Amino acid sequence: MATTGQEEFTLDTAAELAAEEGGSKIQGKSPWALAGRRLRRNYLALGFLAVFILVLLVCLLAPLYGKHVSHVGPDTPNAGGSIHENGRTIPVLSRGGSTFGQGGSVNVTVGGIPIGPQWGASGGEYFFGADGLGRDVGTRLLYGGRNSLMVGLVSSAITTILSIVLALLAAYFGGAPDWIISRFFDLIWAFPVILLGIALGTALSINGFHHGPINIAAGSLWIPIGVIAFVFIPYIGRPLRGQILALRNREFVEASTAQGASSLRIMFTELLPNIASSVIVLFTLIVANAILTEVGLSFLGAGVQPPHPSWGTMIADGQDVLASDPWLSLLPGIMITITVLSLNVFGDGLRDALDPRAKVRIEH
Amino acid sequence: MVAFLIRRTFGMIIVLLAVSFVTYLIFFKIPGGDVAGRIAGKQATPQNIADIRLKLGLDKNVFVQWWDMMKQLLSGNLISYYDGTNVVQQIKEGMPETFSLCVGAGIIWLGFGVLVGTISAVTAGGTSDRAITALALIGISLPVAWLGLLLRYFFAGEGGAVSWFPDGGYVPLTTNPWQWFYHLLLPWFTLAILFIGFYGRVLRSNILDTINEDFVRTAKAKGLSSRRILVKHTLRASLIPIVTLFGLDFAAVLGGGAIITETVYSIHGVGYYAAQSIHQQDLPPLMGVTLYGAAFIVVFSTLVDVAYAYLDPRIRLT
Amino acid sequence: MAAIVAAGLVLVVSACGGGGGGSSTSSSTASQGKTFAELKVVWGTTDYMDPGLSYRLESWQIFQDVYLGLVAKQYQTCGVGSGCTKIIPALAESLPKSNSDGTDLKFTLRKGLKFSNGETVKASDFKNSIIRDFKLNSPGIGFFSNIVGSDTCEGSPTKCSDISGIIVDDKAGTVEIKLSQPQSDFLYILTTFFAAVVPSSTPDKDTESPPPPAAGPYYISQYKPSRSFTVLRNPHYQPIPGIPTGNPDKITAIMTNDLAQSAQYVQSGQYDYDENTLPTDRLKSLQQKYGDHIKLWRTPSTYYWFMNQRTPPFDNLKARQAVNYAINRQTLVDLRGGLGVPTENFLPPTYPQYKKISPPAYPYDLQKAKQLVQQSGTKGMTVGVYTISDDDIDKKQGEYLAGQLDKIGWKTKLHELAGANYFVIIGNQATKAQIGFNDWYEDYPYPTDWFDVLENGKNIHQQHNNNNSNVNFKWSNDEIDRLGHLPSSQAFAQKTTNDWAALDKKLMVQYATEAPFLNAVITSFFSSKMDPTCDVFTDLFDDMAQTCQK
Repeated sequence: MATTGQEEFTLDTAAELAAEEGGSKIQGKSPWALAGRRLRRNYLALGFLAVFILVLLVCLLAPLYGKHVSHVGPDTPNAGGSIHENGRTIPVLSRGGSTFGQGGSVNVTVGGIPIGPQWGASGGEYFFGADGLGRDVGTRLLYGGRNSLMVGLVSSAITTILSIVLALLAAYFGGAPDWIISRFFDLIWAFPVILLGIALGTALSINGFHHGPINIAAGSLWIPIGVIAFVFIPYIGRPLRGQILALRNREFVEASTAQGASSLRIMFTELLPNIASSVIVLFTLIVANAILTEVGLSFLGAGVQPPHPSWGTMIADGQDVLASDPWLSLLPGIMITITVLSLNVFGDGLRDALDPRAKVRIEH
Repeated sequence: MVAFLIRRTFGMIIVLLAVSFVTYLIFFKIPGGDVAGRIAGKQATPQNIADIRLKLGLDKNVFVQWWDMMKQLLSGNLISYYDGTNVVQQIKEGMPETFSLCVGAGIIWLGFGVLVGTISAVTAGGTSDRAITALALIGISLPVAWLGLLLRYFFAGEGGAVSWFPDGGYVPLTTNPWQWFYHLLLPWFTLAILFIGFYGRVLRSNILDTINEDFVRTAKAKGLSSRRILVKHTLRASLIPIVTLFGLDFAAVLGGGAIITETVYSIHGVGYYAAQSIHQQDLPPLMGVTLYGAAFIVVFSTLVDVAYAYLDPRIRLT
Repeated sequence: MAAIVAAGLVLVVSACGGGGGGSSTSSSTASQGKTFAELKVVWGTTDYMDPGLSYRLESWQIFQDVYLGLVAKQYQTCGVGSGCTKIIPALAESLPKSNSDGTDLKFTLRKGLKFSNGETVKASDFKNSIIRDFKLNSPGIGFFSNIVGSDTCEGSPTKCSDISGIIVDDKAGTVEIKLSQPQSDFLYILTTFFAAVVPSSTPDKDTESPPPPAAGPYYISQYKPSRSFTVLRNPHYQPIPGIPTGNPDKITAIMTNDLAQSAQYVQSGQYDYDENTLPTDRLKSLQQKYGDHIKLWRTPSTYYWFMNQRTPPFDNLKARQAVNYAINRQTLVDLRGGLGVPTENFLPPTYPQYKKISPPAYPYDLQKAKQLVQQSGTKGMTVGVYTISDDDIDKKQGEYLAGQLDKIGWKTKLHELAGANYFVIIGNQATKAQIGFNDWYEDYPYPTDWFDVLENGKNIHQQHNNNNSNVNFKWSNDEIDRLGHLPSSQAFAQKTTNDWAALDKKLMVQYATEAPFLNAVITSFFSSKMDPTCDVFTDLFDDMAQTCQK
């Protein structure tokens, strides 16, 4: 904790350790090793990383769940079906109808209400209940998680790589490339994010993308992936560009240039490693945001298209049965919150480990 | 300063033109296929489709088409394909609702964000700090759509349990100020929660960083009490990034970025109008709303830079 | 008409004959003379508030007390046994004098009629209102195609300037309409709002701010699309027998498509009447709480899957029959929350010409459906299923259909479109939509509204097609034409009624041109302030003019 009477207002584990790291303790250790050590001692971050990995694994194992537990796929509608429980046959969607009495009166028995969570009473089927079309919520939850996580992770990876390339080109070469790329960033930046996402998502979901050599069908997952990747480019691109600009004028780059190293080599060996820690931190933050964005887009119908499940579409589906079967919307939301929270906490820990004083944030 | 503003204004206009052109491309070029047949409103007969093709100038160059639409928009004459309403008029009608939602939420999230961030920094390491950090982290991890539905379910009578709040909708201020306020409470909270958490954390770490800067140590060495140091010297410096963040976030939601909140609570503001038009592939409102939103962002961006220069004497406007 | 968001109230119980005779009866005594200051209502959004253009129940429900034509449907609840087919004179002083086969109708206008802006109602206003429909390219112009001289306008409607078959005399106040052939349903067509009379000075374009002046007991003083409208008493209205003068002095409406929210508005007492259907997940709890303040009504509507015979696989009869076997109509009713009745007929049960197809021709049988697909040779084909995306019920039903079609051997691809664009897109032959959702609510209670509009091969269009299945058999085209052009004495004869029923059965069973699945039931919800017993249902919806407070 505090040393020698200084009232340092810091109690972050990482900063603690950084304060401890003086003299012999850090002798001979690379910054990466030090970072690794700080991270290892941060049990909270590691704990949440484990949670995230657990969620990821469980979702990846969705087909197993479908095969052995619920015996259905994520898109298997069963609106007219029934389950057998304790010797009784219960329809998956309540049976209803309208009857007409004397004098023109009409009576209705409400139908179509899906059964709630069975918690195993029917042997794995409809463990978490059914949705409005009789599909198994548990299976959809896992497959939906697979889709949401995949969209989140892949789009983040794509946007990170693209941003690095663009930022390097812009900051290193300056001049015209910088001007073009910066204006490109500005253009995307000027759109309200969600509006651009919805517009692109909707336009692409009409017919898919069939221009030039690229042919993507309308219902493909690549559409939300591409849309989210595109929309987030300036959020990584601009901070990175700023950082590289600052680095570019440092002595070690000058030295390298003087030695006759090619641009490519400088970018790879001098610049890239120095932005690596920023990239890693930004990446975790972007994944969290990408997942939330996918949920928002799918909720509005501009992301993952039916009948493919995603956590976002499930929340939207659950809206109209909110009063009678809240589980439909509740469960995917809980999963999303846990996942994103884990990423955020781990991201915090990562940032503290890599640089306790890091001023790297997602710029607006 | 004046030169800066002139240059920025010029830049803004270019950006807005580019934004509108890109929007046009998105809906006209990406999907491919017969545009007129796809969007020719509800009254289209063979005659109408041909008329529309001519009117839209779909046989003309894409720049010409776009510029024609821009002229209509700028003269306030842009008409929706779907229901023949005037786009600018519709946006104007949606503005009071969006403004009510965003200004209220903005005040809440800025106020609480600063409060929470400051408390958290002052008590760094203590239980309140940990609790606030935990809540903030949860706050920024909640999907907005889900939060809105949850609140409607638990507090607005959807679940039948309690009906402390009305279930969405909007009452104009002029009709009934109390109802206006009452109906907006849940939406304000929903919209603000994400930002409170984020701003609180940003402020906290800014304060903690600034604490360790040299000028604060000097102040302490001079013998000023901790609280005074904190308030007087660090807060102002720490608030600068918050101001810039707030400027841009506020612009984004005002410009129609609160789509999800408006949809979940059925508030017929600009964001709601945007979502409807996109869904219906109704291009004129979409052009109008996108430009409207981009204009906010671009203008506030400049305002924020000016404010930043004012607050931080080290910055010079270039 | 097709409905996009289920709305509107329709009470139609079995209609019997008597399409033209008899004078009017006064409105329900329960609601007479119980005036009150303001009725606040929650309404669904609509397409237009211009009677020349609007083709939605939400608008028509208001129009019934606002815009009048020469004749109107009676303003009474159609009870069991009596008909919703009764017509009363409105702006005309009596039902028309006609020649023996009904091809020459003569009306005389009542004296002293005035529009809400003070202008006198003239005979030429009627003619100009019809011509205006053509100029607007109204969806209703097809209804007037049998009037002598309308063919000149049909070619290029927007240039329409005269219809020789409508002869008016403003001094005498007479309107004479000449038809090219007898038309079984012409008087009914005059009750639709496309035939409502607006001042000749009304502009020849969509008029909604405000909507055109009206000759009825009320007029619409303001309308903001998708937001609100206000209806006030027509200061120049003179009471017409049979037409309620109206209880509320003012009707204030807000518009929303959020079903839960509209229900909430009425629950909280902020509004007094919910025009939207109640959300099915809360129906049970709402019924328990509000009992008799929720009324349920059958509608003269049929929901069905169209199957495009111009594209494979549905050019093949076995494929169409397979679809009919593959849908569990009870499940489709369940997906609507139980608010419906399964059906295999095209006509709704409320029609005198309805004869239930019994025993069921297509009981639910997946096995049989699979066999038929196999036999048709279309197994493995990709089938695009179209449905509406922003109506949860339509969306679910479409997804259900896709799931079933997958089970019987096709590969489906879902196309979920916004309601605003849906009918335009499926109505466009270029889309080549194979199978999709369709619903039809009656425009007027005679079978031509169904068979001529939706099943007649002569009414297939390139765009804005209503015959989405592209049904085109010579024998059925001829039969529809024959039955649609009978003199009024035969239009309701027993033989004609039987012939319509036989046509229904032959098309649905033998030729499987469509896959009908339910007739809809809808709700109306009154706040505690209102007395639900006053409520009157005029064939398609509640009559706002006859509501009353406790």
